This record gives sequence, C-alpha cells and structure tokens, in this order.
Amino acid sequence: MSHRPSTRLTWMLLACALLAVAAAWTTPDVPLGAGGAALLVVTFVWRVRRRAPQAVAADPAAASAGATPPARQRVDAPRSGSASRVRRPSSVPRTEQQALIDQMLQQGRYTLLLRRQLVGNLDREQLEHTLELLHEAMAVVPEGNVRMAQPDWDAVPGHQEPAPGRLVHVAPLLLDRYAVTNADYQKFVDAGGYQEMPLWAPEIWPGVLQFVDRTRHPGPRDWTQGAHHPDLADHPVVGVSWYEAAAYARWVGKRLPTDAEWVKAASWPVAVGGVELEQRRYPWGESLDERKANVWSTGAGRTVPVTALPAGSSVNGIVQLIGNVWEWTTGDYGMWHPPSRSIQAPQPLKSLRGGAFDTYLEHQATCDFQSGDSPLARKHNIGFRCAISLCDLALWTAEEACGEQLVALDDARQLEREESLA
Amino acid sequence: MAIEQAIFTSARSSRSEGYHLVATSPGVTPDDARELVAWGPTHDSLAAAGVEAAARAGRRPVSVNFFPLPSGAFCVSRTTHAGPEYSGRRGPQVYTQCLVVPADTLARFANNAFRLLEAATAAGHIRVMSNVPQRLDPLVLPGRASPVSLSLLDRLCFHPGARRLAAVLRVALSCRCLGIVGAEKPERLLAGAITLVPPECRTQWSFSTGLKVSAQRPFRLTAVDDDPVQRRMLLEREAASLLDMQGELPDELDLGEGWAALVYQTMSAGNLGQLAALLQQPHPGLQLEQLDGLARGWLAQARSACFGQAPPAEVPDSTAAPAEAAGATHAGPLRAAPRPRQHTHPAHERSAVGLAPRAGAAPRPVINRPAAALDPGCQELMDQLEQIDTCVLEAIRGDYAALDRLRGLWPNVARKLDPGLVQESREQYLQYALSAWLEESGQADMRDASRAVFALDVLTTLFE
Amino acid sequence: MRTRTAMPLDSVRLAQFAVPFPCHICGSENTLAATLCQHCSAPMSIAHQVRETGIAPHVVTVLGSSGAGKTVYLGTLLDMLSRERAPLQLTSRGAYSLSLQQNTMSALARCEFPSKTPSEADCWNWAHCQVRDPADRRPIELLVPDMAGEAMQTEADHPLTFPVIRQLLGRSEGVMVMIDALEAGTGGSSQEFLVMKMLSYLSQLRTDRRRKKPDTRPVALILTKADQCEDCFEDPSGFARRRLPGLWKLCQQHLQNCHYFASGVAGCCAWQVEFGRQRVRVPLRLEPRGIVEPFVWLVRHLQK
Repeated sequence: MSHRPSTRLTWMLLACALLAVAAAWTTPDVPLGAGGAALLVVTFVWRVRRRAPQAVAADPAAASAGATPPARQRVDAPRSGSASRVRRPSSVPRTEQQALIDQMLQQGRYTLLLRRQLVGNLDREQLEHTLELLHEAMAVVPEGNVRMAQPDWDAVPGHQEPAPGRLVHVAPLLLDRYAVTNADYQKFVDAGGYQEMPLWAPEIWPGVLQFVDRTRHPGPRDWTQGAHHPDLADHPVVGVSWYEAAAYARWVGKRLPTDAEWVKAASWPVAVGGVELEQRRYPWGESLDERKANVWSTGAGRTVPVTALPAGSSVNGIVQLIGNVWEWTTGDYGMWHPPSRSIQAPQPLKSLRGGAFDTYLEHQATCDFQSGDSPLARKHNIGFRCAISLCDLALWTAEEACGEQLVALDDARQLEREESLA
Repeated sequence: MAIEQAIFTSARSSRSEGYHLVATSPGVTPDDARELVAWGPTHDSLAAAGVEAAARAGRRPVSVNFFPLPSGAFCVSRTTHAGPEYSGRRGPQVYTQCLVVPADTLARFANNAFRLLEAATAAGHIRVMSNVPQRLDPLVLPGRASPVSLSLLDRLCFHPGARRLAAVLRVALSCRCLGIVGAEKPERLLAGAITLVPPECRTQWSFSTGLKVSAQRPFRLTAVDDDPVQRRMLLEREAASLLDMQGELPDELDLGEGWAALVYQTMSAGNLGQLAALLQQPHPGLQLEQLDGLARGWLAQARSACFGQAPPAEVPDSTAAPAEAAGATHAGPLRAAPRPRQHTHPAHERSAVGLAPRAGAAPRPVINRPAAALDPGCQELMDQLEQIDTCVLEAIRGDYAALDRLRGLWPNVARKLDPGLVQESREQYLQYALSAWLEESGQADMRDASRAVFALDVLTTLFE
Repeated sequence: MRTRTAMPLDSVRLAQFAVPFPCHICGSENTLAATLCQHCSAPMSIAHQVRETGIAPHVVTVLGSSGAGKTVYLGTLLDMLSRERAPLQLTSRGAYSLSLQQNTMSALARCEFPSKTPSEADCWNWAHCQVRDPADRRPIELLVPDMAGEAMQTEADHPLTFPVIRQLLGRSEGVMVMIDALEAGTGGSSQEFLVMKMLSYLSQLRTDRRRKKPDTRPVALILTKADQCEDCFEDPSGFARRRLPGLWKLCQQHLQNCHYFASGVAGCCAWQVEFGRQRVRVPLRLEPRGIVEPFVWLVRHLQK
C-alpha cells in the first residue's frame, strides 16, 4: 500500500519530536524543547496535507470525475436542497473515506450511503448531512392502496365516471421531489456512467453505443460534446431512453418508480369510509390550473426549471408530477388494460406518466392517464425521476445514530403486490 | 360473350392506395372503369339498417347493385364487408365485386340482375378474395332465367303483398328516383318490383338494395335508412320520391289505372299465370313511361272480353282473409294469409288455370286438390301443413335452412295424415317441383342445374 | 292602434324556392332550399354565406394520398387556431364548418384516429372560416375542404371523374400537400409518385394564358407523422431532398413559392387489438408539433 512508507515516517518524526520535548523537559534546554515542539507541529501539518490528494487518487471513479476537459462548460445551478452542496466541518481533518463520501454526496448518490452495508461508515455529522440531503431531495410516499384506472374508450373524456380499475398495494417509498435535471445527469455522464456496463440492463449492452448526442458523444440526444446547454442546467433532462434513465437511477443508488408508485404519489389516495378510495385528478386537486402545470395551454412551449410552478406540488411536496416532461416508470404500457384489448408493438412499450409541456389535451395530463413509448425512444419531452423503497435504506440505524424520530417501518421485503378487488 | 369483372375495395397496391379498382379483367374499358370508380361504394357506404340486421343474423351485410355503363354493358355488383381496413383505421373494408355484363348476356337472364347474380353465385364466381390478384379472368356464365318466376310471384303475394308491391310500382313509375324506407327485406322488395315489369324495361331501373344514399350513385330505386339526413339527401334530388313502408299503407292509396293497378288486380285475384303471361309478351323497345298506357289497354281488354276471372271489388290485402268457395278451381296464391279452414292446405290448390301457354312452351302441370277434406278443427295440423308448404317452396329455391325444417316437420305431419292424403300430398309436391323446374328453363335447352338439385333434395325428404 | 307589418305572401315564398340559386364552387343552379349542390355536392351554405357577407373565400386545397393525415391535420389545426394562444385567430362560418374539428378532436380524445374520409363528395367536411392575423388588419376568408385522397388520385388519373375536385383545384389559391414522412423515411416511393401526379394535375388546370407564367401560388409541403421520424423535424427540406428527390426536383422546377414543413400530432402510435374486432392504429397521446406554422406561412403568402 502506498500509505505505509509515509505512515512509518510520520511515526518516526513524531517519536523524535516527543523525545526532544521530553529531553527539553528534563534538562532545561529551551532550544531543544522548542525544536521538538516545532517538529511536532510540522509533522502534523505535513500529514494532513499528504492525506487529501492520495484519498482522491485511490478512487478511479473519483479520478475520472475529477478530470475536467477544458472545453466543456458545466454549471451546477444552486438549488434548494441540492446534493451538490457539501458541508464539511473545517476543524476535522479530511481522510480518504471522507473525501469519497463528500464526492458521493456531491454527485447526489446519498442513498448509497444509507444502505446497510455503508451506513456504518458514516460518522454522526455525515449521517446528519446525508439525511438532510435525503429529505430535501426526496419525499416519503406512505404505504397504501391505489386504484389503477382502466381506460374507458367509450366514455367522453372529462365526463366519465371514475373507472373501477384495479387496486394495487404500494409499499412505502421515497420519490424524488424534482425530476432529474441536466446538471444531475451531467454528473452521471462525467463519471463515465455510459461506460459502466454493470449499470445497464444486459439486453441493451450492444445498444448503449447508440445513446449519443448530436456530436456523437455519450449523452442525451440533444446535448453537444457530452454536455448540456448552459442555460438548461436546472431543466429536466430529456432525450434519454428508458434504459438511460434506469442506468442513471442505478448509479445514484435508486431506481425508477413503478407505475403504481407514481400514481399513488400523484393522486394521494385517501380511503373514504374505510373502503372507497378517493384519488385526485391532479396532485393539487380536481381541475387543471395552468399556473400549476406546464402543459400546452400554459403557453411556455418548452420545458421550464424543475423548481418552477411549486403551487402544483403534491401533498407531500413533490413538484411537477403533472406537466413539463413525461416521466418513465418501470411499468409496461397497457398493463392496466382489460384482457380484451391488447397492444401490439415491435417491442413492449414502457409506461409514461404525467404529461408534458406540449400535451394538448387536458385529460392526458392527469394522474391516471397512462401513455407509453418504446424503451429506446429519446424524445424531447420525456424525462424521469427516481425512487427508492424505504426498506432499502437503513434509516433505523441512522435513527439510532442521530437520535431523530423517523417513520416506524414494517419489515416489508416485497416492493409491490397486486390485489384485485371487486 | 364473357362477363368481365372488377374488384373495387380499399387496398394498398402498386398503383394506388385506398379505395380503387384493385383488379380488373382485361375486357373492362377505361370508360367503364371510370364509371365503376365513380359509383364505387367506399368507407361506411353500406346502409346502417342492413348492417345491423346482418349483425343480428350473424352474417355479413350485402347490397346488390345494378347500373348502366358507358359501353352499353351493365354492372351487376355485390357489396359486402370484408375484414378490417388495411390502413388500421376503424371500420370494415367495403368490398365490391362488379360484373360487367353485356346486354345480350343480361337478356339471357331476362334482364334480371338478381337472377344473374344467383347464377353466378351458384357457379362459385361471387366470393370475397383475401388476396386479390392484380388481374382477373373474365367469367363464362351459362344458363338463363325465365322472364317470370311463378314461385317468386307466389311468395311476393304473401310478403310484401300485392298492395305494397303495387304501391312501389306506382311511385317508381311516376318519379325519377325512389327511396324506400323501412322495408323489412329490401332485396326481396326490389327483386319483386323488377320482376313485375316486362324484361325490356328492367334495365332502365338502376337499383341498390343496401347502400347509403349518395349523389355519387344516382340509383333510381334504392332502399334508404330511416335517417333524416339520408331522407333529405334523397328528396333533394330532382323528381325524387320517398316511400315509407313502415306500418300499414293508407286505405286511400290511389294506385291509378296504370301498370301498378294491373299488377295489383291480377295478384290480388290470384291470376299469377295471367300476370306471368303478360310479362312474357315481347315488347321490343318498351320504355317504362309506356307501361301505364300498355296496362290501361290490357285492363280495358280484360273487362270487355272477360280475360281470366274478374278481380274482387274490395282490396284483398295479403293480411285480409277473403272468403272463397270450397272446391273452386282458380289460380290462387300458393300460400295465402290466414283464411277460413274450409279446404285442404293451400299447397293443394291449383296454381295456374286458364292461361294460354306460349307457343312452343311445354304444358304446365297444375296442382289439384286432394279428394278428401281435412278436419277443419285440426288447427295445429293445418298450421303445420302451411309450414311445410313454405318450406317446400323455399327449399326448392335453395334455402338450406328451409330444407332442414322440412326434414323435421314432414315425418311428424306424415304420421298424422291419412296414408292416402300423404300419397296425394307427395304427388302434388312432385308436380309442383316439376313445374318449377320447367318454368325455370322455359324454351331453352339450358337449365339451372342447381334448382334441380334442390328439388331432388326436397323430394327425397318427402318420399323417404 | 294600427301597426304595419310586412308579411311575405305564400306565392313569394314559393317563388323563392323556385328561383335557382347558384353553387359557389361549380356555379350550377340549385334550389334555394338545397343542402348540397346536386352537381358537385358542395354545401350550399357556402353560397348562402358568401351572399350574406359579400366576401368570396380563398380556396385552399389540401392534397395528399389516402392515409397521409389530411383529416387529422386539418381537424387539429382548426382546433388549435380556435384557441386564444394561436398566432392566428380563426372563426368558423356556420355549424357545418365545425364538423371536421369536432369529429377529429373527439376521436383523438378517445386515443383513436378519425374514420377514413369516404370518396363520396357529399360525405366530405368543409371548413369555411375567417382568419385574422394580428400583423394584418384585414381578415381573410378561407374555404378548405377535406377531400378523400383516393378521390383526388382518381381525378388525377381520370379527369372529370370527380368534377368537384377539378373545380376546387382550378380555383385553388393556396395548396397544402401532405406527405407521409414515415413512409418516405422507410424508402417507400408510392407517396412521392402520387403527390407528383397531383401537383402535375394541379398545374395542368391553370389556363393556357396563365400557364406561361410561373406558378406563384403558395404551396406548403407538409411532411406528416414526423413525430415518428425525428430527423424530419430538424431539417424538413433536407429530408425531402434526400427521401423525395423526384418531388423535390418537380417543385424546384415548377413551383416558385413552396416551402417544406414537418408536422406531427401523435407522440407515439401503436396497434391495438380488440377481441373479436379488427386491429387498429391508435395514438397513445396527443402532442401537436408543426401544425400551425405551415398554415401561418400559407396565409401570410395569400395576403401578399
């Protein structure tokens, strides 16, 4: 290990310094004592300075992320609760592990740190900071049932009675408050995410090479030179296929939400009378308000920053579930259709939810409307946000460490089970 | 001469897309092709009533169409649904098979498009092709049809009845375009109207039994949906009339003194043979407009010379129950509406009496009454006998369902009848089948073999 | 107290119905009460509207083969222009003008495409509307019929089969040509030949005197279904040049005032199979792109 010679030298210098100080103490030799103290200080400072660059070089991912091509411009737009804001006490000396943790927090991969395998490596301060980032970036979607509406093709849109649909149970999860931005995705690209095959589904390995931007660099379709437009840093990333979205989610330690999870987060079902589920048409209520969602009638004609239109947030503070961009989920399009109707496509279509800035019909930008597209589609109005199951995070360990009250959780291992209720 | 043919439907071919002439036989002229396209029914062209009725019956809707072509030939076409639209849009594909029939070929079938189409269907030429070849072969259609079918006239007397048919004729002859609303079986009604004019006039009536009204297709006779838009579209045409067949006809319906009145009087009196003889008389170059004058002359002649039996004064509608003397031998309908049960079942009445046969024609056998009368109180048996009459008629015409019903009915009835009556019934049915076969062929040596086969099936059942 | 009232005599009313009333499209005489022209099947309400307003509308014809997307484009266009956000403001003349918009949008709202347009002229939808451009004070009256593609093709192959098409093309002051970009992108050439045939027929209908001069009518060549062919949006002209070389050359030679556009209505399409029924093509969502721009270009060139 490269650290051994320097460690041995450090201990030697320390020993010499202590001996000098001891000798000066026994024999009143001021120069000797001062020299020993000085040696102590120098040894300590030198040791601290040598630790920082070695910790970075030990992590190849960090090394590649640290390399900055001089031609690209990257702007990390400040955002409330952004994971890019790393708080590091200046009084504590920085170790390799700390640097790695900081880097992962910088990249928004805080959920990885909260895994059972890694959470024990965090000290209290890091844990607090990680939890803070988690709560700023993600919102809890509680456990419960959600009705997945079955489309009624014969009904007049906007006038039909609530479709019976299928009742699905959703385990508790955390869902991103904001859609993944260009800035967020840039970190994935810069970290070499397109080259890390374990992040990608095996069936798409041969196809990863086709996920390039206008200049043939790995990245979303509309980027150039592997970078986004500088003015669009805080806009949702678009032009990414379902596979790219899934790979990013895996990289940050999360996953794409399931169809039911997305609908539950958006429609916030409430059991009325203990049985009947009342679900919202929109996260904010029952009628479309152009001040709360970026759809065609709003007039923007393009994406807006993910923090825009906060009035359209859901009950638990998730922003822009409706409008701006369609969002990939893990579900298949047509999975809620009755058996008498099926979709035929060259490959199974993946589900899209939420509507986008160019969604023309209001009823297609609602919580229960499902669209779909090819998983290879890289369109100008399709983005995504990530989720993670609460059972995947060691939050009770964090609770013990931080002494904070968190939601008491069941030990649910199953992410989702379906129940058909009459 | 061969019959050329063409397929007009929606398909993607090397030449075009959508509704076009997908395939033609070599003899279709460009002018005729253009006319076929102009008249061609496209998306959603079949009348809604026909589509619904066919859906209830579990079969495809069909429209039989007839119109003239620039070359002097005539188009006899059959339109139906043929599966999904190739482009993925909703609605079935409308498929039309057109037969371009030379005038002399049509004349062989007494200028009756229905008879020609029946013959072509029996020969296997009329079918929906899933893969239409680009080039079709012309058809050769042997056979012919008699100008008049007595069996058809018999059935027409029962349904839709002499009065309704006469009303159709009356209005059709007085206007350029007639739409018929609410007809239960428009094909039978129009077939009846065509049959009830002389063959020379039949080509002057273009018709459609089941297409929507369109300015692109100016048929002279057409069955119309009971739809305000369709009605209005038809009435806006020049000299157009609409005849609503729903419900009862008004009592004061004036049939005039022309052809319609002649048809009504002869049919209601049961003088079908007389009517058939009138229709078979040759009238080269006869126009529809001349029919009324011709009828007036015949009616005057009939009154003065007691031509056949004078019709009754009152309107003997098919639903009425005229009183008849027992044992009267007169040409009467083979099957009439409810009448007093004083005689044997109608199959044993004379079918044609007092007709002067055409020169060279074979003598027509008649169906005599049986010797003994049945118990008039045996209503159930009488009903069953009437049903057998109907089944025999329809089965000989080619209705397999009727043949099946006959097979179920006849053994039960035969058991209840006196053996002598059974034997007599068989003889009468045999004579009827023979007469139907003879009148079908007429003077020519070409006969419709399919009719003989049907008759044999019926007789086999009756004589088992 | 006596009041004077004017009451037309029955004889006057009968005379009105007996007086012939010419069709605005073909000029043939019809009765006053006629709904459709008995010769060309154009709605007679157009003639009534023209008589009331005193303004003859500019005829804009929409050409394209069967299935190119004419009905979907027109219906979506009319709906978009009827909203406040549109760059042009559209006002329909008469209830019949709304049928196309209504039929199309109701079908798309059910995630379906509208039914095929029949070839029978009396089944066509006609849009008669007034268009107002904020950049121009004078509104412009337009008449845009939604004709069946195969009828146009038949007329081009066999002139006078559909007289109304000949009349409309002869009076056309602006043209929108729909070309299926999806089929062109996959290498199909049938679209190209059909459109070239129609444009050639269109140019033939100009009078001899006018034929010597170049055709300056604005012609918008719209590549439809471009949502499934993304590179078409980026450079419609380049796409046409690469995929439709014959059409490109024809337009260069004969059309002085033409422009290429890309448009799309559905974000994604798929085949839907219903048990016991047919397989149909359905749009999975509605996100119109490039719909208004060609029309705006055309209108502004009409006003020049």
